[in-house]
Order: sequence, then structure tokens, then C-alpha cells
Amino acid sequence: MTGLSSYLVLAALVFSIGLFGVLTRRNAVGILLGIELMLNAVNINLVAFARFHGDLTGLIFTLFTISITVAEVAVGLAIVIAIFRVRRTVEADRLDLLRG
Amino acid sequence: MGFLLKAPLATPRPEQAGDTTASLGRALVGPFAVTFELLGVLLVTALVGALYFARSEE
Repeated sequence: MTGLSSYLVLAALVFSIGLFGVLTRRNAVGILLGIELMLNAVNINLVAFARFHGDLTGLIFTLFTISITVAEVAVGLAIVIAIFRVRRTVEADRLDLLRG
Repeated sequence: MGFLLKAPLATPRPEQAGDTTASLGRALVGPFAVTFELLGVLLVTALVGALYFARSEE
């Protein structure tokens, strides 16, 4: 039977991949995908702890987290689209001006 | 990452207590009902915000 440690290792791996993506990618969409991976690692932890402790609260928190993630991605992608319309690029290195 | 595997987390997995889906549904309309409603408001706000940011330039 798979132990709790295996889930924690999986979540740590997914989080590390997401963090690597956020730190290395220059494309704004790639950065958003990295953030998504990190949030999903948190969800894996929540579900694993909820299952192994026999508590339903972790699962409910996971549902809330997924919904908040959806909202964050919707706004984030809309901002990326708006930036692309103005600057014609979504490279994070070239977005260094706050002026529109 | 070996420290995670060696950590004393030998928690035995408890048996599933009843129908998880039904329990989740009851919890969402019971003790977490207000949070659930607030989440709906948040999603609508995010949708409106996304539409505002992504509107056409005309």
C-alpha cells in the first residue's frame, strides 16, 4: 500500500518542477503554467493528508483551492492577452515598464 | 528528497467512512455553505474582470 511519504515526495517533485518553470521560463504563459503546477502540488498534499487522517476538511479545501486557481488563471490569461495587444510580446524580460 | 521517505510518517490509511462524494456534498451545503457562496461570487467577479481585461479595443 502506498504510504503518505510517497504522496509527499510526488507533491515535492511537482512543486519543484513548477518552481523551476517559474524561475526559468521567459514566456508569461509558461510562468502561469509553473504557478499552476505549484498550486496542484499543494492540492496533492491536501488530499493526501485528508485521506490519511480521515478528515474531509482537506478535500473541501482542495475544492476551494481549485476554484480559486481557475479564477486566477482566467484573470492572468486575460492580463496576458491585454499585454500582448499593447506590446506585441509576452516575454517577461521585455515587460519592464509600468506605463501602458 | 530521501528525508521525506525516511520520515516517521507511517500513518496507516484509514478505511473509507461511507460515501465520500455524498459527505462532500453535505459539507458544502452545510458548515461550508457561506464559503461556497463566497466562492461563487469570487468566480463571477473573476469572470467579469477577465472579460474587462480581454475586451476588444473598439
